[in-house]
Amino acid sequence: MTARSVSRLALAVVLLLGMLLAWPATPARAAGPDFYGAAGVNGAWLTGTDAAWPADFEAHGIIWTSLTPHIDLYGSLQYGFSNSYLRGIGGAKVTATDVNDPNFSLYLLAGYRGGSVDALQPSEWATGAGFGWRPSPENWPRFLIAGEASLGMESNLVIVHAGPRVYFGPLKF
Amino acid sequence: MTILDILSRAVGSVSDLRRVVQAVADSDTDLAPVAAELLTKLDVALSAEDLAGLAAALPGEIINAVQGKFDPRFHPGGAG
Repeated sequence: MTARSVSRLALAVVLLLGMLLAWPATPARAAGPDFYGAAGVNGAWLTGTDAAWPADFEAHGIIWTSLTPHIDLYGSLQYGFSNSYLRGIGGAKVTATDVNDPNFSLYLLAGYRGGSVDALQPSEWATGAGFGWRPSPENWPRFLIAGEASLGMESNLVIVHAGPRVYFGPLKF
Repeated sequence: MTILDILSRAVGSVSDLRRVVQAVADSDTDLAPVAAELLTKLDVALSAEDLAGLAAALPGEIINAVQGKFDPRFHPGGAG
């Protein structure tokens, strides 16, 4: 990851945290946003004209906050074991939960992503979609399966990842 | 690039995601039935009314969020 992309990601994270931490000081606010975190593993696939490798196995960590019924903010990091890379993406999700199954939701995302190796460059704005599913909320309430596909607006590189997660939260500040 | 262009590209990336899930569903593993059930859920299309309702709700939710009026929900997709 270049120094420029690191500084951009760091700035985005600092701005996001700054906005979120500033809100609890507002006395008129009745309820704060909920914060969640999750950890898991992914199968990850790169597709596109210049995709350097087809697949990898990743460790995945993510934090997100729900602001409204349909809007989340998030930031995630992934480490690829085969190709020894670190990548990340952060931004906003617009979500829609299945009215027949509250344990399944889809989302569209807009975010900024980057990676530590040339194959995951450039750092760029990305859009995409994903899902999350609790397949057995009664037996494993903290267990999720999630997946996402993001498309780089500059590179047209598509990164797909999917896998199991364990989540914690909500946390309130 | 218009907003519609961006949205269509975002939705288009779902085909790549679906392809991955389809491959697992077609495999001879214990995960195949789980992936098949997931495919059924992914293939249920959002109706025009669902999308219109979502589009109508978003501006108000954005304004509320900026004003610090939160109404959080748990979304399983948050872990994606």
